[in-house]
Amino acid sequence: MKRFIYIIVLLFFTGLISSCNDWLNQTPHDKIPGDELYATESGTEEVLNGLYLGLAERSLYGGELTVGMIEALAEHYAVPANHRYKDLVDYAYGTNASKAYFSSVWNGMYRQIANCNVFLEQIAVHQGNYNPENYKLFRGEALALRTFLHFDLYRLFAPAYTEENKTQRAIPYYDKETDTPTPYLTGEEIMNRLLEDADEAIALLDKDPVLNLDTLSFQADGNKAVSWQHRHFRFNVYAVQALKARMYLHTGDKPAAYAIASALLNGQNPAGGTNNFNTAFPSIMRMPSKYRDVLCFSEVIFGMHDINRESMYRRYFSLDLATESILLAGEKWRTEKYGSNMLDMRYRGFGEAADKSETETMLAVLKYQKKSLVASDPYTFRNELVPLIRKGELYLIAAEASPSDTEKEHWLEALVINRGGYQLGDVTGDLDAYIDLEYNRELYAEGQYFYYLKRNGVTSLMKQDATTKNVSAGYFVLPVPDAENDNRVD
Amino acid sequence: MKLTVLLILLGLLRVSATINAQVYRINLELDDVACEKAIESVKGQTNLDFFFSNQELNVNRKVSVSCRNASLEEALRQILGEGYSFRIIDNTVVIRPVKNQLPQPKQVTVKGVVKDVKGNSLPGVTVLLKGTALGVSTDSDGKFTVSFPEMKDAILLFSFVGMKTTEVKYTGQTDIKVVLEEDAAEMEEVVVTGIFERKAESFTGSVTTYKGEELKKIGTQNVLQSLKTLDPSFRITPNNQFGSDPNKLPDINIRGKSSISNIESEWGDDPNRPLFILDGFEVDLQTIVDLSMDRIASVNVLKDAASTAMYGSRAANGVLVVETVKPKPGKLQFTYNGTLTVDAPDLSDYNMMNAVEKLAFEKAAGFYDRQKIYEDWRNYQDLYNKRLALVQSGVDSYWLSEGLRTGFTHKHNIRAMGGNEAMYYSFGLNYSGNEGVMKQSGRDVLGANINLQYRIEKLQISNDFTFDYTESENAPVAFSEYARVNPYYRKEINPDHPEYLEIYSAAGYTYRRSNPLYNASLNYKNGTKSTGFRNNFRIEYRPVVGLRLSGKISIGKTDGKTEVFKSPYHTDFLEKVQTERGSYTKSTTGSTSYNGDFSVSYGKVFRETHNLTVIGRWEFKSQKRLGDSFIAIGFPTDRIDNPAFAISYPEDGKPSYSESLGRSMNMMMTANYSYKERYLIDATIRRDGSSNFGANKLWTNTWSVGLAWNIHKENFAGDWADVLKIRTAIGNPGNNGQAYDTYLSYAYNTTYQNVFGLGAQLNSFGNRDLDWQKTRDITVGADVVLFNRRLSVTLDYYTKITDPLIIQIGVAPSTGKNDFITNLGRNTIKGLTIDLGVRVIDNREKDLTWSLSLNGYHETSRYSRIGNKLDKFNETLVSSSVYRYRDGGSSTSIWTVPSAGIDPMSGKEIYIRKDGSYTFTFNQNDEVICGNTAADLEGVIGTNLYWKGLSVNAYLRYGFGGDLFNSTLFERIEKIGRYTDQYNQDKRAYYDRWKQPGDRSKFRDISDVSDGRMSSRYVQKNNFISGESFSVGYRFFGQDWLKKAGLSSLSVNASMNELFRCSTIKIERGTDYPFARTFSISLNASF
Repeated sequence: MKRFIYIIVLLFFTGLISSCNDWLNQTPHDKIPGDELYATESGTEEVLNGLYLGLAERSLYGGELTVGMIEALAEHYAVPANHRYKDLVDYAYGTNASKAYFSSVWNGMYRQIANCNVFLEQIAVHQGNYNPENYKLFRGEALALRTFLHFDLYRLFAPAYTEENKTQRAIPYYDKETDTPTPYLTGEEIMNRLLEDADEAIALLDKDPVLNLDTLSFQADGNKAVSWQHRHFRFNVYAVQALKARMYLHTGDKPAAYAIASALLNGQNPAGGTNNFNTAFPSIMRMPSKYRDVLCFSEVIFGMHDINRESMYRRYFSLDLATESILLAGEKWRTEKYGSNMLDMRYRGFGEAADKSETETMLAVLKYQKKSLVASDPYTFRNELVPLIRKGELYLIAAEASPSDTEKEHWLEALVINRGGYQLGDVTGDLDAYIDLEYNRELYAEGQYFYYLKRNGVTSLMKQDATTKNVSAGYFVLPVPDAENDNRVD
Repeated sequence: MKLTVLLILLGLLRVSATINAQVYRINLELDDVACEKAIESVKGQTNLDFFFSNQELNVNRKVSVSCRNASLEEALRQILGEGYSFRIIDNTVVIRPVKNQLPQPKQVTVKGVVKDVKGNSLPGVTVLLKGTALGVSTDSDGKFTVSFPEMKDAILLFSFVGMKTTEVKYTGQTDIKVVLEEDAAEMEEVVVTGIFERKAESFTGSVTTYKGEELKKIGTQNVLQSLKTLDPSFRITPNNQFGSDPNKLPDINIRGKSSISNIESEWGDDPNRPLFILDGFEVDLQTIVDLSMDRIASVNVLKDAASTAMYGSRAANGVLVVETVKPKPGKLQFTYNGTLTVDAPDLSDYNMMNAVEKLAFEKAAGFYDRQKIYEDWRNYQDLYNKRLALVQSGVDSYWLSEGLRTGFTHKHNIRAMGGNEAMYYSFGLNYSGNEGVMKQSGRDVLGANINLQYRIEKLQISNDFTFDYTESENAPVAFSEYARVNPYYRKEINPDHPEYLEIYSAAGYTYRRSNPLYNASLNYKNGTKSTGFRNNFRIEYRPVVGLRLSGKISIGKTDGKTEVFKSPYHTDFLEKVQTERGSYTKSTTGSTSYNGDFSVSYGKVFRETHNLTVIGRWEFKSQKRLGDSFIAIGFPTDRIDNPAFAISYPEDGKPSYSESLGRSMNMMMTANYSYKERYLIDATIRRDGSSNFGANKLWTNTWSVGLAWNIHKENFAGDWADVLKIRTAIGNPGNNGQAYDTYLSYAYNTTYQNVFGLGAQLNSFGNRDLDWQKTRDITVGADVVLFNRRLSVTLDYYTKITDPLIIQIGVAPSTGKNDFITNLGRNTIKGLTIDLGVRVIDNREKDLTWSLSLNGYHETSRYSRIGNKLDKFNETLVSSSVYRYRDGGSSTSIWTVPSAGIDPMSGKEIYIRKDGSYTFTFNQNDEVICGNTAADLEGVIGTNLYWKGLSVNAYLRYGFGGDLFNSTLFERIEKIGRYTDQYNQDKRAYYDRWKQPGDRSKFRDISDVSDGRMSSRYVQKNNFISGESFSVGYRFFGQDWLKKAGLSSLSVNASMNELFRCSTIKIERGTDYPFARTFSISLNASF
């Protein structure tokens, strides 16, 4: 009996000691341990989706970098004296209000990059848990996202890419999670790294479902879960190609930019293989007329899906907003940039908002206003979409990078025809000036015009009351937050 | 040598007829065998029992026997040889030696009586003849009668628990009167560590023990407030903001603050807080603060590595071990303790302007003359005249007293206990209704406890159940809001504009001055209700002498609910739209914990010189904490303060929820060895595992070694030395109080959603390599008690080096994080504590003692190896504080730019640059250490007098050599701003500021409205003396009326705390909640 008790006690303690580490290894239930998520493919998909949801922050692509600050800097809104963007548009970058915008962008973007890096490191560790094809997609998308984020940081916080600027200190580049800040790279070094990353992503995405699927609706494909559909909400291989074209154009490598943009628009995959670009992202004119609105949703190559996009509208454009935060366009500016072609679907992105100003007619921005849709509408996501890369930009890249005026005219005409109301002879005169007009029309409230201005060294901007604002090159270089430089040695 | 007689009884039970010895015929042929063996053989042939003493009979003597058919007598004769006889009684052969038959000694009988020093007879005293087991106990009247053989040098020993053992030499007297003295020393001599109890004399650690009664004599607030008076190692940092607020926890440390507390824990744990052990189980600070002082039996403060080593990774901040009163067997006994406390706000440090001075100050500061445009200037002149008319009509309101009251606190504790030796129990109920000195603030605690003990032979079981209910309420308006109201406003709620004291328009703006009386008059709620219970179960088994096996398990649960309701009419909401006025916040917290341990201890004395104790222990602990909260806004009325009447949640306001689970486990081994109680050694090793640390650092080891030499036990030590002990200890206790995010963890993004379902985002990067923070703790000390306990000194010199610290450091945000927690930096604390006691008068006959005591400490600390890693954090401190985390500084260093004073010509401040040159511009980079808040010496001087039941105690706290940043000078004299008329200020703002060229002033130009910088000009010497505790007590005994009232004892004690304070620095103390002077009377009665 005694011996029996001893054995029981002994077994009890042996069991206890051996399970000690498990017992101690505890994490709170209001958070999810990384190891638990990466243990399964579905958990990993949740982390990947988290990378996309992170973009939707108001300080990033859910606001300031698409419709907010970045567009205000490009003088796409009327900013009265009491407006929260007043310091920004006045180039008062040293005020606390301005600094707060810059640091929330800087911190937020790098936080997303860190998210990508942790994801990349963790999926490599847990690679055995995934279908090898899906692992390639995981890695490809995350790499592409990281490239996208770095590139926008570079375009915001470093001087424009020119022969003299490209050897200047630009921004830090991170390809791993670390507590030690990495050194600043020069513009040239950054762009080389980013192009390499884009190429790796393209190689990894060689079997991207977008090459076989229509992006616009769910299709019964037994092998593919929801995660691998709706590729226009994911960094698909075509989006990486388009990003590459964007990067080449930014570095002034026009032939490379042209090659990619023209190949895509001709329906070809620049990496070779399938040629389904134009079926994956059909022209809006191929859609029934009721879908032809300012958003041109079918042409979005990469966009954010935010089921609460309405809150973005309420925060930036709703007519209920006070004068210090509402974003309105001026009629004078629209007349200058849009002309009076009411048949152009993009012209319908504005509505009258008479009571907000006494002196001139102000226009409400309707691009992101919620449309009332019937439940049977197959494309209800139109109300939840924020475009980040669209086909229209590819036309403009192709035009801007065209080797000759003939091609330039061709691509511009192709774009305008796709917007309805094209009349022969519209695309004439100074084609470069026409590209500028098209940037204003096609990419209004999408955050790209600022980079167009910066890339081309523009020094005078047209304001909403049609007056001119002269700016220096420094206007296009956002200052790096103090917290960054105070906490690093270089 | 005791007269131990070992009796061997062979073949105990056997049935046989009585037979004559001659009947037996025995055949034996044995050669050289033990005597015992031979007897065995005889026994085998006769079936007789043998009875003998092996002290009288040498059983191992070798014998040879040869007999054939011999009689029993003959056989035994051969075996035993000459000198023994035997008899057969029934079937037993009793062997006896024949010779050495001593004559029966003469018996003597002694009678007597034993009393204590107060003349009470003592029943149950053991009276023993020294060197024998002969003894008796005294009867209920203290009388005894003892008989013993007459002998030379007979000595009687009288011993009784809690009394000094007394020897009386017997010299033929027939009636002995003995007086036993209380042995205070003996009661103190046990050290309770929460894991084991040990004689203090044989322990090498630095421990001080206080009895509950001692602590209650100092004050009745809580055990911690009393401890700080008695023990120089135990310190409470005064809270200048919250003063005597009963709902704020004190900031405590034992022997300095070793951690950097820049880590904002989700649960707000202070990393410098000591560990609290209540009856062997870890509890939180709040439990100790709320613990009824009447339940406390003793408190042990464990300070150095040797004494805290059993707590390993939790021990670096010291340990406070509290033992509650345990039941004792006996007939049913009731005790009642009652305390009535009166708290009066202490406003003596406030020095506010009166109405005339305030208005004159505004005028002098140029407030009414600042306007350049005539119309505006006219507005301000009208305002001045209006106010002047008020002042001249005699309005001079004293706002300080508003919102305050005299707080009455009553505490009751009733306990019943009794039972027999096997099973005994106690039941207790305690209540404390604490009124704070601010109206509506208070704290009520209701507690109940049941303690059961069961003891049978080697087994002891006990169970402790405690239940607590606490209700706290906070004042609606901070004291500072009243203190700062201008004295020229009438103390009333103006019916025209109840929210405001005054509304005026000037220079195009309208100014409104809020009325704190109005906000205080609204319906309001801000309080917490919490319920908790704890059950401690203990089992102990002692199979053989010296060996003890014990197990404990404790389960506890606490639930708290905090509700804050702010009326929609509150001035905070005047700018809001109707639907957003009023708010209701509710948060709940919950904690569930269990812990237990199993221990084996073995103690043995070898050859009366080597004393060894070994304890092994395994312990586990788990605590889960939950918290959630929500806010509801928009109330149509303030009559109803519950969320049912709220309109909505705030925009973007979502309910919050948090959860944490902390687990730890440890194995510990401790050994104590002493040689002749002279040379002592304690050694402990412990292995700790905790979920708070990185996955790669789950486990750590801590150890300690303590050495001591009891010089007074040496032969060469004279009678003059009662205790003369020197000791030293070294160890590396750790500090593991907090949970850090050491795991890579994710949280689901609930703000944004998309078609792909859930999205997880990084919550914590995790630092898998985060290591434990440990402190190398070296203590050298001496305990000296001399001249018949007339003089006692305890000295301790300690060094605590914490390396590396756990610090949260800022990092470049491009890494994707703002900061991270890491092991970095070093903190060195060096200190000396002294505790001195002198018994000036010690007259036993007159029952009079008078003693003086002095304790004090000197301590320095220094940060190093931090480098520039905390610069970002320091940056956030610049505008609000003078403390920095920099190498060469410490947690008490005051960092600021040195000031050369005020320029008499311009009234501006002159700063001194690092190179010694003067400048008018303040530059943060010129910051140096300009002072240190730690005093050169701080401590308490005390005296106590005892005379026939009356005791008088007084304790004064002193401190000198420290500095303080005088925030009153900074904020109430200079940092006033351009709206001089907004708040009332310190008188010195009017009288002492620079007014015209040539003025030699300590304060800036009166018309300078800039905020000013925290320069060294505000750093002042802080030498002080305060009346910490005064008390008078009387203990009734032996009076006839006591017996008539059925009382067995009764004592009354009155105490006063924080009676006065004299200081070289004049600073407002208790800005949001004033300090209080406390007067209390307590009564203890047993039936």
